[in-house]
Amino acid sequence: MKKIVAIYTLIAVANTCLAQGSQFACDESGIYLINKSVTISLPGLSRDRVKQRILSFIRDRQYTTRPFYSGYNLISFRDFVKCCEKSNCGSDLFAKNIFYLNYDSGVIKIKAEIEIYSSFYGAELIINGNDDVASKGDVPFALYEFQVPEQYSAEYPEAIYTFSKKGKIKMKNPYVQQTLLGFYNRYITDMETYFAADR
Amino acid sequence: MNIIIRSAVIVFCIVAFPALPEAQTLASKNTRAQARYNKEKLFADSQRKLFTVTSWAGAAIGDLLASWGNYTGKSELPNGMTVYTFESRYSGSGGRYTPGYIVTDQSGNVVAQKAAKDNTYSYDFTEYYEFYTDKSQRILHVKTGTR
Repeated sequence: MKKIVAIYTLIAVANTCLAQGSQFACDESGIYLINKSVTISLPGLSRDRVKQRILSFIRDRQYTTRPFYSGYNLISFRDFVKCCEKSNCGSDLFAKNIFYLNYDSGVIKIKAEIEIYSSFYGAELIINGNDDVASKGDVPFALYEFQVPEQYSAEYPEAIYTFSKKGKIKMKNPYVQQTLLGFYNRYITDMETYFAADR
Repeated sequence: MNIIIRSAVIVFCIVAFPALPEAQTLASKNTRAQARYNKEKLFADSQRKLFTVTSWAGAAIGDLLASWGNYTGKSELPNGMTVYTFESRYSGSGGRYTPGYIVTDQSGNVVAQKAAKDNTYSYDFTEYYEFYTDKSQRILHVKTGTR
């Protein structure tokens, strides 16, 4: 009994440690920025220089600028990339992310719009200039489901949670959760590092 | 003779019953797997339709107009964009109304009755496509939907 309590305590502590420092949260409803946005301070940098850094960042990383979602003091870009292999997550996962960067002198405020697609049947996904996703040969694929009914657990190996008929939610795939959190946190870390560097 | 038949039934039950839950699980498992496949196939097909139309993003509006013909609406936005709208209206009705009846005897007692059945339906919606263009007449964004 003592051993079980100790193991549960250890798991709880480990989860808390992993959650610390994460800009994103991942639960049964999805993955999202914990405070809806992240602010990066760049003291002493003029508005124009901040803008130039954002534009060169998008160019260097080969992301796609989204003029339709951009405007005065706002630059948006899109990234569409495979974020987990089927062999690791149970299904190939593709992330379509649109980042909105509001900027001014010495500051950038980042917001994110996230969509994850699951390609369980090996569909090769493509994206067009309107940010819409399809599969080559129309092979089945779908929006990623963070939670599935418990009786569908085997059919959706990539789902992080299952829920019972009584509504009880259980975690079944912590690996996918940690993979997604790591994947999204890297975007923020990368931007923080890039924008803060003296170029 | 009865004893032989009873014994045969008991033996059959002992042998067959353990296999039954396994077969049921397998059947429902296959159904669930098929359900996932069907659901995702429908999604892939609907995404393809959307993808085909919205792939005009990035093209010149002139090319779209040459292919699609005249637009049904055009408006200028304060941010300098121009929106070209194409609309198609769909309306109609169908189904059948079958009246019900009540049969009573001379004393007014109900001896037979049937409720009316109304399977009629009607629809009226407009499908729209909006093409947002910048000052260089390039399509930046496509919105589709119904209203």
